[in-house]
Amino acid sequence: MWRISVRSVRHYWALFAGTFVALALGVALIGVSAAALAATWAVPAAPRAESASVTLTDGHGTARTLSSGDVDMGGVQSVLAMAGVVSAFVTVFVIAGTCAFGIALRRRDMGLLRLVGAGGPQVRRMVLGESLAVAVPAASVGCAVAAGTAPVVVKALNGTGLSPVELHLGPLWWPLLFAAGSGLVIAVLGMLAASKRAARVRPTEALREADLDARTMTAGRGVMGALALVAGAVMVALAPGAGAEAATPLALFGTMALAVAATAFGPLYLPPLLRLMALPLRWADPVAGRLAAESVRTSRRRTASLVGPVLAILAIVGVFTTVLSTTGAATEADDRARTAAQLVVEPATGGATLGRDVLHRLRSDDRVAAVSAPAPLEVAVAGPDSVWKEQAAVADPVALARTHRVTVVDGALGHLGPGKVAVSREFADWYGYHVGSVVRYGLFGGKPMTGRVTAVLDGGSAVPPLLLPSGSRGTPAPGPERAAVLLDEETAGSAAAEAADLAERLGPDRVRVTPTADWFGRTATGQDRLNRLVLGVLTVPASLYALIAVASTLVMSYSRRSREIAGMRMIGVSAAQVRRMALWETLSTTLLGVVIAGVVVALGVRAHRASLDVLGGAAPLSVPWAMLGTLTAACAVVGVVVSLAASGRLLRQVSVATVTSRQ
Amino acid sequence: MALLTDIRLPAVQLAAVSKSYPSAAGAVPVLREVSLGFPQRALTAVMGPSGSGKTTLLNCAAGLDKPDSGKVLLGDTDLAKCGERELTVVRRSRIGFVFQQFNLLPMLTAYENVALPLRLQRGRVKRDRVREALRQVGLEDKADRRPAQLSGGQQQRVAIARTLVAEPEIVFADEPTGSLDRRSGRQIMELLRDSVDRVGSTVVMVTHDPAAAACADRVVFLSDGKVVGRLDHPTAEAVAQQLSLWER
Repeated sequence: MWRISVRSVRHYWALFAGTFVALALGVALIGVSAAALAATWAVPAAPRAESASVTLTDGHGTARTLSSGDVDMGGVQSVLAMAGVVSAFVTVFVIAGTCAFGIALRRRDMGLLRLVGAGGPQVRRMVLGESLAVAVPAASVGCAVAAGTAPVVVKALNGTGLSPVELHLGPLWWPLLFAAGSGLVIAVLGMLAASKRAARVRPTEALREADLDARTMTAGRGVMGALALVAGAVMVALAPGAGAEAATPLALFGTMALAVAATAFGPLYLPPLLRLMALPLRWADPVAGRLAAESVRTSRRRTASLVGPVLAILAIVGVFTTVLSTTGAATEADDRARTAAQLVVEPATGGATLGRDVLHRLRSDDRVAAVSAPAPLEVAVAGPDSVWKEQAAVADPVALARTHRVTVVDGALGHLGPGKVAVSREFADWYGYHVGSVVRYGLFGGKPMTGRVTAVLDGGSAVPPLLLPSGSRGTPAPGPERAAVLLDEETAGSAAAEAADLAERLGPDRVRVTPTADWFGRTATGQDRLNRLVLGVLTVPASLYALIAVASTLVMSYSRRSREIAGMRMIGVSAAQVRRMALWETLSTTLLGVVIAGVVVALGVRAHRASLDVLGGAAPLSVPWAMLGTLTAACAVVGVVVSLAASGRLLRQVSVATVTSRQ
Repeated sequence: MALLTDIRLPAVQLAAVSKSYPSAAGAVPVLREVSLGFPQRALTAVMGPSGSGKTTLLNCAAGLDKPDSGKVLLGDTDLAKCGERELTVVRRSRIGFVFQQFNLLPMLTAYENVALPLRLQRGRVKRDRVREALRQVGLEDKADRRPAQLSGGQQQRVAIARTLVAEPEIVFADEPTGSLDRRSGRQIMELLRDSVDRVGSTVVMVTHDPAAAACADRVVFLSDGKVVGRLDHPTAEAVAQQLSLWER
């Protein structure tokens, strides 16, 4: 069967081109991610002596030691790993799609094989053999590309600042071997479902005339679609009331499930939608428009395959970017709404902390009503089952409640004495603490301590998970990175004037004083840049795949349309009309994919937005229109270019022989 | 002469075979209790108007379709009761097919198409046997051509060579001359006739063409899912006359 596999790959190269490109790209991306990951692993851990550690016992009495001071490569590692996983996942998705379509176009061959006595397993082996025959060269090409681009990518990565230390590329053998191996596994995985379907082709299918549209809505498709629909609807329905942490995954996965359902049920609802879209087409372009309308309506399998990738990629990228940027916008809006302080005081040099004398002079100024200066630090917290790192701050809850609009959910607001702590509402809800319960924690380099919870505060990101008393024994007293200053309304002038005056008085070389609104504007841009970078790393490869899928589906479908187009030419349809037909077909299927994706994303984003708490109003909706618009345009452009090229190629080949030839 | 085919044992025997297809208006019966034998070492033609159930009869007899009721005996194997796995083995070694078109795998050469049944049986492919089969159909010089490089008649001859190499107990042919010109059609019929006379094959053929049916040892007439007549050692004129009778 291996010989037949190789022969059919060579004969039907157009059907395998998409698989080849997708797999080569997938292997290249996995190879680059793996090489960069290996580089992060190669970063030497900080010398043990320097790192402070603390040992706590969890609820079971097991002692666990956590240390700080390690170079934190976790962030860049998880981004790289996610990029690799996304690449692998989308490659499987694209390959499964192109393979399924390829098998659907070759049902007659499969039937013929069955007719001359090939068993189901033999057909299956042949199909899997084909996937290997494509995968081996594709993986080699991917490895070559990865080897060439890895140094460039690592250099670019160093430029972004995602990694805390400079990365150096190690030997490429292992990452490339890993990438090639995953490529082969991915190819077989992607082909598995298609091979199962190929093995089920009945011998009588060799005798059918039509290549397409035999039972597009199968039972398996229906069951999968129904499951995805129910799962997606439940998740999206639950999201608004689920709280901020749970709502994001619910909305994301719910939307993805809805997109799967929309793809699965495509053959059911696409024809009426297409009929609707055909009305203006028929009017605008009577011949070509009508032909296009009829052809997308009757070739349901092809239409579903063309709408699928556009729908999938726009739904996934759309919901991810919109949810992330809406979350960011909501957090910022909440922060702005919660901050009562008019000024932010920071040290003039980055990375330094504010000195005690600065804080003292701020507090003693008679135009200043309140100053809160939380000093952030990392602590280890021991729960019943585990010990984890948590963000904390040495801060006075009373001052914090004056500079920020903080609600006391439970307990009473008061200065924290030794042995007392305050916690945020999120921390209390997540880990089950309440007023009166004891938090066991430890500062790095210090001894285990306990604190009784005196208050649970709700203040968004203004309130760190744990608020600790100052001057605790054994505390390596950290300094605050900034101070929020509430001005006295009666004695102080405008925020800008006071900012300038305070800066002058404290020494412009030591501190920088910024009005709160300006400060938010400045920090938001920095955060945005990093968010966009991470999103780019995750979505650009996925989008590339979607474009490959669009292009390869078109190439595949046109590889089987020579007779149809020759027939049209013979009855007098002009070449220009055939081209316009191709254009209308692609534009209408792309538009349909965009519209359906838009509906699905709107459902998910609406549910997610309802779950976001913003003080004094609804969360602002933030849609990255530019990015989504670019992606949509890219899908349309690729579709149009490929379909025009493919139909042009067929038009040049057209001859009477095409109509009458049998094979 | 008429007795000659009757005393031969049937290669395939259909007993009270019924088959209907579902449609919007309920089940439509296509075969109604058909009982029929296809004698060994003979060429049997099945004729009838469109929609009379010829192709369904052929598919049921070849185990491609399961009858709703009745038996299909190939030797002592009841194809109606066989599972997919057994049917695969039967198709591989005991039944051959020649169709109107789309007989060959387009990515394989003529030689490889002929060798395919042997390869699927996982036996060694004997080059001489494949070459000999191609020689018998007059295409030994076209062994390396792909189907797209062969004419319709040549493709049909490759399909016949494929049945010769596997030496099946029975060959089913559905309109083998249907899409060919007169000369190529005659060539195909000569080949089928020859394989019956010289090799001792058994061939069952569905056809519309009285000239093709005239090459058969027996013609069975089908109408509305029932056998309505038979004719042994037919001539084209007799077949045409019968047809016009049944189709009136």
